[in-house]
Amino acid sequence: MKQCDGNQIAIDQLYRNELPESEQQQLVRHLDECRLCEEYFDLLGRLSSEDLFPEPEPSDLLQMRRAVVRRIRNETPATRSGWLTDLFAARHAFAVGILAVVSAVLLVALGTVIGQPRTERRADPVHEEDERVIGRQIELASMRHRDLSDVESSPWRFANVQLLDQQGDRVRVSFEVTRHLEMELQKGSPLLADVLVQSVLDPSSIGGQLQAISHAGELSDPRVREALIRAMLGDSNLAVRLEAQSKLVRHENHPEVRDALLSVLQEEENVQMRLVAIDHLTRHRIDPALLERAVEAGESEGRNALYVRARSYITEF
Amino acid sequence: MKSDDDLVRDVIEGNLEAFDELMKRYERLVYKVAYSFGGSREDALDITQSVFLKAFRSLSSFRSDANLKTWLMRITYNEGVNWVRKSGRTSDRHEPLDENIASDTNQEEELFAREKEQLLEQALRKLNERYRLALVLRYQQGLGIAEIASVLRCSEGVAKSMLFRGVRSLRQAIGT
Repeated sequence: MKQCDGNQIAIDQLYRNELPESEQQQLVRHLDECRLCEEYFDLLGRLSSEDLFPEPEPSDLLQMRRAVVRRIRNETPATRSGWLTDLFAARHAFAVGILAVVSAVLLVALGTVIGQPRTERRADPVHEEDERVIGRQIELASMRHRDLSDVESSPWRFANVQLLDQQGDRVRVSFEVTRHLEMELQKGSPLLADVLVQSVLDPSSIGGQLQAISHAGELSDPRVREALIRAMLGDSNLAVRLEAQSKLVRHENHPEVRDALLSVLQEEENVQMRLVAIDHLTRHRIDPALLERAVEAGESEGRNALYVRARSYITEF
Repeated sequence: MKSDDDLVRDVIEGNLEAFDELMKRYERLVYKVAYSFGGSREDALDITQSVFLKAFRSLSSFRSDANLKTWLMRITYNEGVNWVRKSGRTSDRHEPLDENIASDTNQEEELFAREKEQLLEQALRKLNERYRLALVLRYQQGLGIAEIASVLRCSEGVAKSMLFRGVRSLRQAIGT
């Protein structure tokens, strides 16, 4: 039994109390008689239920906001927490010395979390070994620190620190560690792929994204291809989407690229991107019925131009 | 009460209290959408935190003629997708049902209702990410079609199509 044609929109409007009163009674009577439409209405109710996605606890949100502000302060020298600058301004030499000693003790007693939220620590022997190696490097670096300026100028930056007293003289410390690196890598290096993937998908720097995309186009790594697809379909900046598409259409008719370009036809507003999609898909002999359906499902603006571009290919079949 | 634009200007000038105020305005909305990706309180909070950090770092690129809510929703979508890929989890958050079923009718009904809810949640999490976002924005947050289209950067017609395709996929998945 098929869903009654045309009722989906009316049922959605009825649910949201947007249906004109003159049509409401008729639809409500229909819901009493039609099981499928009644189930559709019921499903909309379940999608709206608070039990589906529970309300956050105010205390959780407060902690979240505090954590965000704390991280911002740690990353921005001008907004660094007042207690540290107050100590320095007071010029209490013994307080500065105590600070250096406390830093060293904390670093020696720690477990290191590299760039992962505290709820996501994995019980993975490879990751645990990585953490031990990096933890040891940080400890060695801290042992060389003699005064506050050594700690402040350390290339290792710590953020999002959480402390928990343990028995005896120990403290459990969890925090994030970052360090700026400069390296020369082979084009096939997995690390290069990782760096490019994160950069392609990082919306905080459009220039960085475009630069990463221009390099990413030269790699055949599947993760890089997936990142380019996501940028092409999901980035808010048109230049980024265009650039990602220009790199993807160089891939030899990969099924994921083909499906992504069909999505461009269905979901992208920009006409140029849709024309590029048609050119690639027709060059690689896509089923013309699929092509026609995708064009038809997309934005009506510019559709004539798309049909003109695709016409000879569609009629050839 | 200050407008979003005024608060954004204050934040760019270095006022963290203004950013705290912005977070208070949109944290529930971001959390609920984040929950649809993470599937648990802890994961939703992690994603929400990432969203606001990303928003703070990108605020200088936010255009004053744009809508802050839709801009935040786009960041939430991207962070949610990134989180799912990075965590390597499938979209199946699944709490085991209590197997000690009493013969009490109310308990049976409760269990059945919970099972139905879990089925829907699992089906929702398996949906195409854009369809899922469209459904969450529409039915959990009450956003209009125009707003949803703006978040998804598509026409209103395509946004409607995503909603109905999403509901259809859900119905097929849960067998109604």
